[in-house]
Amino acid sequence: MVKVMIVDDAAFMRMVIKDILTKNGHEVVAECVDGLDAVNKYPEVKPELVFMDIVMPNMEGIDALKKIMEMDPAAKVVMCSSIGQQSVVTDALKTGALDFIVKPFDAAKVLEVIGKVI
Amino acid sequence: MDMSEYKEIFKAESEEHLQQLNDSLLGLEQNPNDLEYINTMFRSAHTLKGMSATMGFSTIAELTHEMENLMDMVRKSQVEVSNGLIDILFECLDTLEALVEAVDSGEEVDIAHLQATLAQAMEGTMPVQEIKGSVTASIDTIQNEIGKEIPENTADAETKTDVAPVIDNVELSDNEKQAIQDAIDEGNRVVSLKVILDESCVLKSARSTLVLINVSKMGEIIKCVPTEAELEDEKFDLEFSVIFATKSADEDIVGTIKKISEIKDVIPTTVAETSGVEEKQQEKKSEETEEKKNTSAVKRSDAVKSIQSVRVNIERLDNLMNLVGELIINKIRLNQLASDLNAKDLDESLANLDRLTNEIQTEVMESRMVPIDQIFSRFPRMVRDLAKSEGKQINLIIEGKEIELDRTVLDEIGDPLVHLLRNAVDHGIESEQERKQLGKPVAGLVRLAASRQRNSVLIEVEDDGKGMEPGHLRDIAVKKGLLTREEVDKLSDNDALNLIFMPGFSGAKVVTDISGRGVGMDAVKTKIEALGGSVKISSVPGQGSIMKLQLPLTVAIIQSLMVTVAGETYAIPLGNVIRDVGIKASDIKTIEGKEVIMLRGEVLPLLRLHDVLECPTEEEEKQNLIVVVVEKMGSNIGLVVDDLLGQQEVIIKTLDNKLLKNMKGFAGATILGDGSVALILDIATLI
Repeated sequence: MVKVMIVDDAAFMRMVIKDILTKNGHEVVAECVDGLDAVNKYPEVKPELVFMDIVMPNMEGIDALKKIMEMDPAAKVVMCSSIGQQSVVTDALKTGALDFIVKPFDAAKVLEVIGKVI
Repeated sequence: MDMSEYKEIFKAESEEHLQQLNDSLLGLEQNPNDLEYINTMFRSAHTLKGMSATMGFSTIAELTHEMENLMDMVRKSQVEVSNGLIDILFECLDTLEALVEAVDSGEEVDIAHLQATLAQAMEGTMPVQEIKGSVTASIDTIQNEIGKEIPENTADAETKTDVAPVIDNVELSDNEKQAIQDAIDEGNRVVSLKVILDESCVLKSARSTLVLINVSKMGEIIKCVPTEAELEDEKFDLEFSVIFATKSADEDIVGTIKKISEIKDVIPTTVAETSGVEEKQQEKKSEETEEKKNTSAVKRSDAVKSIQSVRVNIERLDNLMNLVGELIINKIRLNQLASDLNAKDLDESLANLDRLTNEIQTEVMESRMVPIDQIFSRFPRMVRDLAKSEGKQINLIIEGKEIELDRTVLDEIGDPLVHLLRNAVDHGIESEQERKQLGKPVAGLVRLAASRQRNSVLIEVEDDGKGMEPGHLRDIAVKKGLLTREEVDKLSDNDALNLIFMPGFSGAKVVTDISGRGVGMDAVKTKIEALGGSVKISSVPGQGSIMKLQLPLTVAIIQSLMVTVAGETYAIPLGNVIRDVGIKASDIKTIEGKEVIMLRGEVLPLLRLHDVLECPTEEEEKQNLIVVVVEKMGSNIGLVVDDLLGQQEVIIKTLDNKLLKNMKGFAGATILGDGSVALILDIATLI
């Protein structure tokens, strides 16, 4: 079981990811509505893995990733991107994100990524 | 994956985003240079794209993808924010709305026409189109080149110590050769790693970056084919090679890279090495990292949960409210039984029950409250469209959108508010030319404001238009045959304004296609009063009108005055009650055959509920009568009742079966403490 924090401004996406995770024995320890929320919650929640959306209000995923990596260089962050975001994902990976998934994704992809990074 | 269970939340959230898009677009129309609106629209379109793609709604995904592209071009100043563009975007939003709406029915919505328009909108930006073209072209050529450059690997490429000028047919620069030589001198091996991506891989450039990052953790990258820059620009097909110096063994390298997702195959080839491989050091290192991993895992296991809100279906809340209602009825019943039985021992626990049910009721009521913005937010768009079609300029000011109302009330007041706003724009605000002549600002002002009163919410719709002339309204009432000339002449100016609430009255000289929809002001008034609210109007000719809607916070539970008439108990909503008074039968006077009484210097018309409800009257006329003074349409009326039972909160059970639905005069029924049923009077329709 992996303790996961989900960061996505769309409640719909959070729900989809959460269901995939919980149905497969993982635990969602926090849901964050934007990057700022994620940066605030990360230290108290200490998730083993973060699923981070990229385009969000208040603070974009890439900035939240940077802040989280500063706080915890061992943080495990997987970016959730859409097509057409190559450069941001590339930047995120260089910043320390371990992997990424591309929307639309299915349960198998999400679980595969967890298996690979944990 | 079955996505149908997410349909509801998908729809709900999509609607939120559509609203945000609408709001931002309206904002953008006012301030074409405000980047914040553009960014917000970009984000919303993007989020919608991701959501709809996940749901498999490809048409929505397509359209939002194109909108996102367009917004991106606007953001980069490649497309100008023109009126035409705003209109196209509005059309996109309307189409999206239809698409989201059609999600249930599975109906097809044709977006081909819109896509053509969108393409045209982006047309004004030839440079971008050209770039797109050249990119595809160069990808083709690069694919060809790669095909030439990297033929199948052969095992005999193991050249020792001597640095070959060409590795796998890849030419090396002098610097690169030097780097390879240095690496070998330091005891490294130089490996050429061919990486093949899955066909399903979507973001190939990002995937290749991830490979390079992992490779650089194992050694030093000397060269990439294609170059790193080309990889980042996705100028490759499915495979690429990286030449790097490392101390790691082949199986470790392959293992590490294969752990990355979407990697089909990894083929390492040693291109140069020295004989001494320092494996020990390597083992030590991996042990260290293993240890690190363990400690961090321990640290993380004490994670805490923190989820602050959940979405609840409105039906749940309705059920909860009903249950609370039943609970309160039972509580009242229990109270009554306890007092009948004179069971003092029950007092304390009954008092507790009382407090707890009150608290539950408050909590449930609060949880049903939603910000009024949920309906206010759709008005800017509506007013804009109206104003545009009428050729008027309107400044819509919205205040108090954070004010909260019960969901049921909110659902009901949408249509009345639409009507009032349409009236304000259509009939209230003068044409641009007229306003100029009058010396008014060209742009008309419409104000929509909500504010919380003690136990109610006040909504005001105000305009600075031509206002209403009482004399003119009197004339119309006579012309339409609603009242006689004598009748209207008796009305005060204020009462004359209230004529617009009469069924069949329409103040418009010309019936436009906008306001003349058959829903008159009488419908507005009926609806608001059915909710237990009231509508008041005031107007100054030449300066504008203001409509005031007073609304209860909730409709499920109301405070009522309980009265008896002919042995039956009735509830009169306290909102309608001004006061109760005792009068003497001898004080009743008759004016034009109607009973009235002088009360505090004013004439108060009397109505005997016996007569209104058609109950048998007692044979003997009582000397002392009880009158409940209620307010209707701004004037007071005295209701003669048999007895007052006191105030009580009653749970409204609606009379919505076929037989009773259309019965006027009753707002519903309620169950009393003794289990009997009492009707709730609806003053608005009763008299």
